[in-house]
Amino acid sequence: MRKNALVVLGSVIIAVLLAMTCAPRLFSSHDPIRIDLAEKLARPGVKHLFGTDSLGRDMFCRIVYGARVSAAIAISCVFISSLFGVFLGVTAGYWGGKTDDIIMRVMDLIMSFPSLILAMGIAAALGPGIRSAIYAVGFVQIPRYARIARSSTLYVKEQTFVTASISLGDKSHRIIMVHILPNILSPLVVQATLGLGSAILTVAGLSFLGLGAQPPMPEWGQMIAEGRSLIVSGEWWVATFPGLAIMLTVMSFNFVGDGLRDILDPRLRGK
Amino acid sequence: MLIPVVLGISLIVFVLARVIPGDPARLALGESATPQSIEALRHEMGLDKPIYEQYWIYLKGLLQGDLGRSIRTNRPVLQDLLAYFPATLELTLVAMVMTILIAIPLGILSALRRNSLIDHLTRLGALAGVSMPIFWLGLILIYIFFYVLQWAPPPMGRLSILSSPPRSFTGLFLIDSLLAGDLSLFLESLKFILMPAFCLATWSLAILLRMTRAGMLDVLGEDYIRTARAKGLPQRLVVYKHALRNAVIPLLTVLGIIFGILLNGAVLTETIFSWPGMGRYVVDSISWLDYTPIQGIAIFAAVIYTLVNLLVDVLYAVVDPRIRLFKQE
Repeated sequence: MRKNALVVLGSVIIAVLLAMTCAPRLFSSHDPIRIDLAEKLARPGVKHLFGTDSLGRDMFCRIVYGARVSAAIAISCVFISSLFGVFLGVTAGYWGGKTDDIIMRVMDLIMSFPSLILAMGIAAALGPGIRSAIYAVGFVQIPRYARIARSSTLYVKEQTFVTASISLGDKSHRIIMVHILPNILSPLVVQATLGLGSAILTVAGLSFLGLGAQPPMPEWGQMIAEGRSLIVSGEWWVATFPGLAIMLTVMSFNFVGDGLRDILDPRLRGK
Repeated sequence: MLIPVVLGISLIVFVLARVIPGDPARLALGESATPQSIEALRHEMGLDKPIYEQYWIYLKGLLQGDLGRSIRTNRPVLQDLLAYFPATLELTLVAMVMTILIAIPLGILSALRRNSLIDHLTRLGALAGVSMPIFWLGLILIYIFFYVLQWAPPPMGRLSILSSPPRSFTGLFLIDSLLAGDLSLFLESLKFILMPAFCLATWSLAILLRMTRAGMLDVLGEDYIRTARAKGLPQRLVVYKHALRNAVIPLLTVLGIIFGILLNGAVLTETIFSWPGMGRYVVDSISWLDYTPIQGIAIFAAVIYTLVNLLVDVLYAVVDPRIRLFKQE
C-alpha cells in the first residue's frame, strides 16, 4: 500500500510539472529572462517566492519555465535513445548471429565509457548548446534500450504464436511489427520512465559544466551553476531551489517507474 | 578481450575529435596567426595527411603511451594525467570505502527490519540520493557545513592554502602524510577529503544500499536460512555466516558499475570542491577547447573502467566456489 502512495505522489508531481510546462503563466506572472537589477539577490519572501538571482530574475518563475525546458529535454533524449535502441536491439535479437554479435559489441563499447564522460566528449565535439547535450545524452543511453529490447525479443521470438506466424509464411517485418514490438513494450516503458529522470539529471550536469543549456535559458542545471559562486557568500536560494526541482522531478519519475515495473512485471511472468 | 575494446575506444575518440568543427592548428596558434604558420603547424601536426594515415599515427602513438600534448598546460597529456590521477584516485577510494561501510550495514539492517521506520527512511533516503544532482548536493553540503556551521574547511582543494603537501610516495595525501609521520597533515587531509568523498559517494551509496537490501531479502527467504533457523542457530550466526556470504556475491558485479558511477561523479564533485584531479582537468580542458586532453582522458577513463570490470570478473570467479568448480570441468 505504501508503494501505491509513492506512485500516486509521483504522478501528482509529474502532473504539476506538465501543468507548468503547458501553462506557465498560471503559476507565475513574472518574466523568466527579463533582467531587473534593482531587485537583484532578493531573499525568498512574499514578493519573490524563491527570491531572485544576481540579475534580478524571479527564481520561482525561472523554475516554472524550467519545467518546460526539462520536459523537452527528457522527452527528446528518451525519444532518441529508445528509437535507436529498440531498433538495434530488436534487429540483434531477431536476426541473431553475426548481426547480433556486431551490434552488441558496439553497445558494449559505448557502455564501456563512464556515461557522463562520453556525453561530455560528444557535447564538446558538437559545440556547447542544449541541442548537443540532448544528442549526447540520447546517444549515451542507447545501449540500455538496445539490451532490453534484445533480451525481450529473444524471449518473445520463442513463443508459439511467433513460430506459428513464421510457419504460416508471414514476412519478417510483419512479425516484428505485429507480434514482437507490442510484447516487448512493458520493460521498455519502465526503462523510458526511469530514463526521463536520468536524462534530466545528466543534461543538468552537462549544463552545469557549461556544455548544455546556455544562458539565459532557464534550465535547472544551468541555474545551479549560476548560483554556485553565491553559496559561499550566503545567497543560498539561487542554487538550492533548482536542485530541489530536479530532485523532486527525478524522484517522481523513479516512483512512477518503479510502480510501473511492479505492475507490469508479474503480468509478464504470468505470460 | 581488452585489446579490441581499447581499439574500439580509440577509434570512437579519434572520430569524435575529428568531428569537431574548427582547425586545431589555428586554435593552437591563436587569432593573429598568419596563414603560413597555420599551414606549417598543420603539416607538423600531420593534419594534411589522409585520415586513415592520421589514425594509424595516432594509434602508434597510443601504443607507445603518447596521448598527445595539451595546448593549455603545454605538457604531454600523459604527464598531466599522471599528475592529476592520484587526487582522483584518493577521492574515489575514500568514497568507495564510505559507500561500502555505510551501504552494506544499512542495507542489511533495512532487510532485517523490513517495513520498519528505519527501513522506510533508508529506502527514501536511497531514492533521494539517486535522484539528486551530485553537484547540487555538494553545494548544499558546503552551504550547511562550511558557511552556516563552519565545521568544514573551505572547498578549495586537498589542503589549506597555507599547508604544503607531504612527500610524494603514492600521491595519496592520506597515506603519504602517515608515511612521513605527520599526524597533523594527515588529519588536515582527512578533514578536506571528507565532504567531497561523501558527496561523491552518495549516488553509489544509494545504489549499493538498494542492492544489499534486495539481495539480503532474497537470501533471507531461502530454504537454507529457514533450516538454519529451525536448527536453532542464533540470529547473528544465521545472518553473518549464511545470509551475508551469499548476498555479497552479486554485489561484486555491482562494484564495477559503482566504480563507473564514481568516475562520472568525480568530474562534477571535483569541480565543486576545486579538487585538483582528473575530473577538474577534463572540465578545464573543455572550457579551453583543448581537445587533446579530452581524448586522452576518455581513453584513460575507459581503459581503467574496463580493467576494473575485468578485475571484478576475476574476483567473482574467486569468491564464488561454484564458478571456480564449474570452470575446472
